[in-house]
Amino acid sequence: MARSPIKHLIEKEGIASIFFLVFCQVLALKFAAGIGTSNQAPSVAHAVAPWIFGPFQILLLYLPPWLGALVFPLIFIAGLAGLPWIVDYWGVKSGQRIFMILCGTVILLLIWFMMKEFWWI
Amino acid sequence: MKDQNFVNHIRPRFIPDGVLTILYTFCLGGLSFLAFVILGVTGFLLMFHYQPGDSTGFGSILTIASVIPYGSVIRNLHYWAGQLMVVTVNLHMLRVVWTHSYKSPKQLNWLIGVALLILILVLDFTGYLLIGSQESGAAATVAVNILGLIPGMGKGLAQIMFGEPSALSGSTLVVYVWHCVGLPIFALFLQLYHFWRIRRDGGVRPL
Repeated sequence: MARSPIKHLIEKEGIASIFFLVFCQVLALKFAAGIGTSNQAPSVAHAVAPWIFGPFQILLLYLPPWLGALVFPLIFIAGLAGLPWIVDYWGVKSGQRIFMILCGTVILLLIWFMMKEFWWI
Repeated sequence: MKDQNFVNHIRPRFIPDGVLTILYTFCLGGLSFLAFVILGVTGFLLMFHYQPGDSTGFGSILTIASVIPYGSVIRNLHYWAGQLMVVTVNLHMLRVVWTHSYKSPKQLNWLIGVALLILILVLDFTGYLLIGSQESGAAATVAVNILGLIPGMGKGLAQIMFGEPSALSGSTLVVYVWHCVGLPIFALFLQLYHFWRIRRDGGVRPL
């Protein structure tokens, strides 16, 4: 396999880093991070999870806590962690399919959450 | 002797040509680490003014956001770097699966990657709790109740992870220490080991 000096990789990473830093800075200057409702405020706020935990909130909303909060997340983590061995045992296609089902479920739950709680940020 | 140190191990003098194409890795692993560094620097600056606690957490966030010079920008940067890190880590995982880079001999590194993903999500969650708002109090209550479902050790685990958050604020000293010291140090060491293992397992190789 042909080989190149590491400096070419460092140049590429440097350019990507500059773009990323600028993008972060623009977001930070343009969009303020949410603060939420003061805990001194009289009314209790309607609690919405941050978007990252949206799928989790949907599971908790419609399933018993032991199933939605423990069993499903554990199945997801076990499926992810075991992917190399699943592929070894059942083949690449089956392994990739299982991975896609896991990811697809999370994305579907995320979309569901966003549709339900449109003020999700 | 020179080739045996850590930096020379993860940065060898020559790398395969195929790795240089941006469309192979999209630099997602490196960008995730960069986000982690931004989070470390901005988090360190925020620590000078943040005070954890039921009554002080939310107030100090307001002070940072509206009184401290550049506090708002630094906090926003911390927030957005955290959000982007979750995105880049997930995309990095998708790329690894797409290029079959989890296969032998890289299984252990895949497991470390999964552990890092979970760790990043826990870091994100503890950061959310530290805002000390009503929403963070609700989130802390849910998390404590979920951990309490684990038979035998659930309540103890919740105590270790969150302390005793009130329903109106998730900001506690325990969460603060985990978020600022315990979890980042653990994540840093896992990341360094993750990088070291990439080279140990033969480096990033295009299909």
